[in-house]
Amino acid sequence: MFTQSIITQFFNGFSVVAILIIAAVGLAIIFGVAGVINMAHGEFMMIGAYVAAVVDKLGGNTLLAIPVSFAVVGALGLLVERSIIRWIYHRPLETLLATWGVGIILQTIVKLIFGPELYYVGTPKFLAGGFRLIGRLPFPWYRLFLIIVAAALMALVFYVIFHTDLGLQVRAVRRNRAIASCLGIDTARVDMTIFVFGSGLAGVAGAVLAPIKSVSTTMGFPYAVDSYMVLVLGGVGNLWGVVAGASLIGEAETILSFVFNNVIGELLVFLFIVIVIRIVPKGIFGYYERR
Amino acid sequence: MKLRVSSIDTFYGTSHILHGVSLEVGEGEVFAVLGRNGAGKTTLLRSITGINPPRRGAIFLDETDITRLKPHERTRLGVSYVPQGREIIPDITVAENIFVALIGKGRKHDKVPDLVFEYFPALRPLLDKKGGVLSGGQQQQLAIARALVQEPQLLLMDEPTEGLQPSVVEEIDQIINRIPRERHCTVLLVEQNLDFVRYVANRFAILDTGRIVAKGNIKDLTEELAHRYLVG
Ligand SMILES: Nc1ncnc2c1ncn2[C@@H]1O[C@H](COP(=O)(O)OP(=O)(O)OP(=O)(O)O)[C@@H](O)[C@H]1O
Ligand SMILES: [Mg+2]
Repeated sequence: MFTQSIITQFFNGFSVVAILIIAAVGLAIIFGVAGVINMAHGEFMMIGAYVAAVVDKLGGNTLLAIPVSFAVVGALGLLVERSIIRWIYHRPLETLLATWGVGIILQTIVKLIFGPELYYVGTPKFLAGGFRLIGRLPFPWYRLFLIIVAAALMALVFYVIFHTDLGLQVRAVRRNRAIASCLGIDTARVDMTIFVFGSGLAGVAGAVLAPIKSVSTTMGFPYAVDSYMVLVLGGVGNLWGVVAGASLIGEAETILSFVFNNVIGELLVFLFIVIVIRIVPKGIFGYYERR
Repeated sequence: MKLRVSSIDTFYGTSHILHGVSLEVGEGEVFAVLGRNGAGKTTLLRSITGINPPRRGAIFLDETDITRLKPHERTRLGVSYVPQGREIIPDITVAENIFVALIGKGRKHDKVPDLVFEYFPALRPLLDKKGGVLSGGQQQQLAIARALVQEPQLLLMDEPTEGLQPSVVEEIDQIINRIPRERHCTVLLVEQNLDFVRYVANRFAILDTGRIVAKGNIKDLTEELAHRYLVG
């Protein structure tokens, strides 16, 4: 009985892992390539969720909300990058403060437009209900959908980085910025494009997470915190860092929460991260230095 | 393409490295920059590429003032750079290193241009290898190939045979000797080997602690000058 439940929790853990991947991937590529820790990442997700809420009100579903949120939050990322970030790329403290400020402004604006009330986004009809995996509790279709979305987003990012011209430029710039620019690469443009792409991915995260959470101006915060933990644990030297970080945190948290309880589970995971970081300060897949 | 460097001062942070450096390189010339370790040769090249733009003075390509341009804009105007230490991007393949150079120049890059194998047939079997696993000599070939596919009008080369074994040095030197005529480009070459400089260059300048202390026609590169500023 206990083992069976553990196995069920393991599968539940998959969907938690998926959610972590979805939430963290945009943050990861922006940090990994452009070197910016976007403190407004949670708010970017929040905007994506509001876009999904609007799409929902207008009769669309999550599948429609995904591209719309990508476009809207991508455009927002473009605006933020062109007006603020591009002036302060090489100053980590300033980018932290500036993006933090952007997050607060975004929360305020959204509250002004949508008011303080919570919005709810339904799951698409064809993803309603669930199926029996093992044991008695059904596994919701929407959770399976999130797992598929996570895999698809990772595949998309891998494709962009390893099979497109943009990706080749990204890999060159990451490794040797000065030489890449001497080879004719417009490094500022690469940074901008990646910031926009990563922002768009945060929008997608908000759109697909909206149906499992009430949409509010502060909804992004816990996801952002989780994303930072994923990056700290996984590192950003390599895209697998996101998968590794999300898998360890997601599975550990789910299973430990089941064996003990939520609070102890989260505490143990946090402790685990601290220990890992003591051993490998740059995360499991540490990043290389910018030059 | 003509290069004119007009009284530039270049800094690393607060340390003042180049002091009022001026030189002119005529169309199709091979111009050698000489000087002891730490004299500022690399800094001069990095000023011209825009990695370390000068704080004072100006740099012209033909009549265009490029002093305020970004490195990639200079590349698109015809400047290509073979950096000291080769600076191959280690975790992408040899072919991809060349593709980056082609993308940077806005060129087609569906395949590695034949030009590469014309000069460096040894690179052909290495195309799918990661840049980082190549030997020093192979990396140097790739660094030059990467510049040549950009069809530069001004080619900057920083100690292209540094740290290579003699037989490889000879090979590279032969290629460098062919480049100005066959590729129709102006060359600015930093080089320690005086015999090779005398053989390949038309004119020279000697840098000493960030200042130009001698320049002229290559036949004016006397043993006395060499003794005073280059050896010992
Ligand atoms: N990134 C840097 N920061 C501070 N000082 C630097 C930096 N790079 C070089 N320098 C200093 O600038 C001076 C000139 O260096 P540069 O590399 O231009 O010399 P070089 O003539 O190319 O020498 P070498 O023959 O050893 O390549 C040296 O005193 C060096 O210590
Ligand atoms: Mg040097």
